Amino acid sequence: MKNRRWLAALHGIHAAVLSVLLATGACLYVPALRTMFGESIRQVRSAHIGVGLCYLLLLAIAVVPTVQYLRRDRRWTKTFHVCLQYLLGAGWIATGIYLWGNNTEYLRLRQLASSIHGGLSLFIIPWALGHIALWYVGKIRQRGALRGPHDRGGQLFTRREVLVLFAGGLLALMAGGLLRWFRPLTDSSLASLDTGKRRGYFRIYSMTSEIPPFDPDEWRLTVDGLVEQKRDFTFAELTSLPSHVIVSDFHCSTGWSVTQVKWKGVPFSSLLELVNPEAAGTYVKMYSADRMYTETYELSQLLQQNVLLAYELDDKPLLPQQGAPLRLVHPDMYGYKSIKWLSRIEFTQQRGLGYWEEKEGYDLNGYIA
Amino acid sequence: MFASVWACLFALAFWGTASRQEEEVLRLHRLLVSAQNREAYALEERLRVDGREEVSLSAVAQAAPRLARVTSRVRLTDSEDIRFAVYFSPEALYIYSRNSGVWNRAAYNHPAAAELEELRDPFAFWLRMLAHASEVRARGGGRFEVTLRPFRDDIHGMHVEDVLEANMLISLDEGSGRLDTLTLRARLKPSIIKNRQEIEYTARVVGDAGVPALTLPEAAQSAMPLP
Repeated sequence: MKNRRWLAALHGIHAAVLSVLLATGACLYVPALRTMFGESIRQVRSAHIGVGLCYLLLLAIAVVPTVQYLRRDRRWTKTFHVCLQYLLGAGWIATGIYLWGNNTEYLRLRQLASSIHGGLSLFIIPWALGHIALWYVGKIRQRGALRGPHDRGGQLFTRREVLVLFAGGLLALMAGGLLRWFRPLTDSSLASLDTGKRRGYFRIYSMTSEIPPFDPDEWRLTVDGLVEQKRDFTFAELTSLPSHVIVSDFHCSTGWSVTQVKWKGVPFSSLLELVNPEAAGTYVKMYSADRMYTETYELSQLLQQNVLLAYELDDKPLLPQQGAPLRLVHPDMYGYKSIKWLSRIEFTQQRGLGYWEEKEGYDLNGYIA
Repeated sequence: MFASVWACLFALAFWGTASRQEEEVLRLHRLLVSAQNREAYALEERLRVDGREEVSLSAVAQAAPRLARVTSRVRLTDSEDIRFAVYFSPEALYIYSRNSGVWNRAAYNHPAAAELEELRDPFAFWLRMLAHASEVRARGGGRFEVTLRPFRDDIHGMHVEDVLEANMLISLDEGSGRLDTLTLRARLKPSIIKNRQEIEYTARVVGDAGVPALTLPEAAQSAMPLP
């Protein structure tokens, strides 16, 4: 009896922990929810990581009682369900830890980890709903209200077969992954280098639920602060300046990347001769039209030709959610430094903190590792 | 039935992931493309054949105003070199012969322009070499050794073929993670026609600090059209 209560408690705790992980994960993954949380998203992220570590601990604690339970209840469905939960848990934990480390050296692995982490989470939702539904149906059957015509008492597989299926499946996954990891270079992999194939997709994050509107007649980019000539550029004036095109990878600090993105815009350095920064103006602060987001830079970090005030992505004008009409693109820095809906550039003598640097202690320079 | 499930999972893992070698090559490719996309750079290049320096180049490019200069010294004999400089401006090429002191000008559609154009894109050669990679080994400290399959290519006018073995060493600046030095070493098949057995080609990225602003010399304005 005591064991049953302990198992029931474990089952309940597992359901609760998984629910919290799914809820917090949804807030991090779904752009609308992420925007809704605004500044609190950093706490949501910390909670997700913390609860994830608790989940790891829970799985470890539950191993012994679960094995004991499966020895008593030999139905293959039970074994299948438990093995699946542990496989999913291992997948979440492994990919979650990899994304937490945020290593951009192995780009494809990073993107794969992100896809697996999200994919497993999407899978578990209908699975959990089906699990609850089956439990409910089982309850009704116990009362004799329904007799399922296919009720064979779980004789489709034996428990041993289910264990073999999962063990073999895990080995197959590991073998496939390891064999691929240690595979030498092939002609096909080298051939794909020059095609500039796009990998990944953008996830749209913003601090507010309302995207700043763009009126071509009213919009201005204000450049002021420690400059000899303050300017308010219209969109037409900016786009008439000599433009530059770059193709670069985009890396978000949260773990996702998009490769081979084509940007067109005005090099930031082109503005300098138009506004003549004063000698004391060695730092730059940029403001977003959402009136919340800011970023700061050393002026020297913005002088390369490939640092753009971008107004086109993949040969099309920026979409509102992409930061239209103008955003910064710094290909050597993480995405949080490429401020969207750029509306003001201020040259300053002191360097303050940008939005994420202040809220969550993000690296001030944000260079991609 | 289990075997088919396992086979599917194996195939999923095998085709869905990447190999370590592919990730390393991809990383080096990104670094080279990033360097290639920069319109401002300073590069020193050396080509040695059997330990003897045959070609030395210094390339500087700036973004505003757009101008690039490549100065070259090519060994002709033990006592004679060909020295020239090429200025790449948006409208034309200006070639200065240091041996004769003569300036020539050529439009980009001149037949000679295609040969000289390669001087302006030094990273194109290294990207081509990466496509011949057979193995990549990370040596630590930002150094990578790339073993190359036999290839045929041209290095500053020298046709390279009959390569027995070759490797490329790529060093990154540990602070910035950017390219620092690229070295190609190749051992060639002995030949009585081409008396060379080993070549070493090095490109070193010089930092931006200390590189003076480029201007087109006044004398270039009176350059003669290249015949």
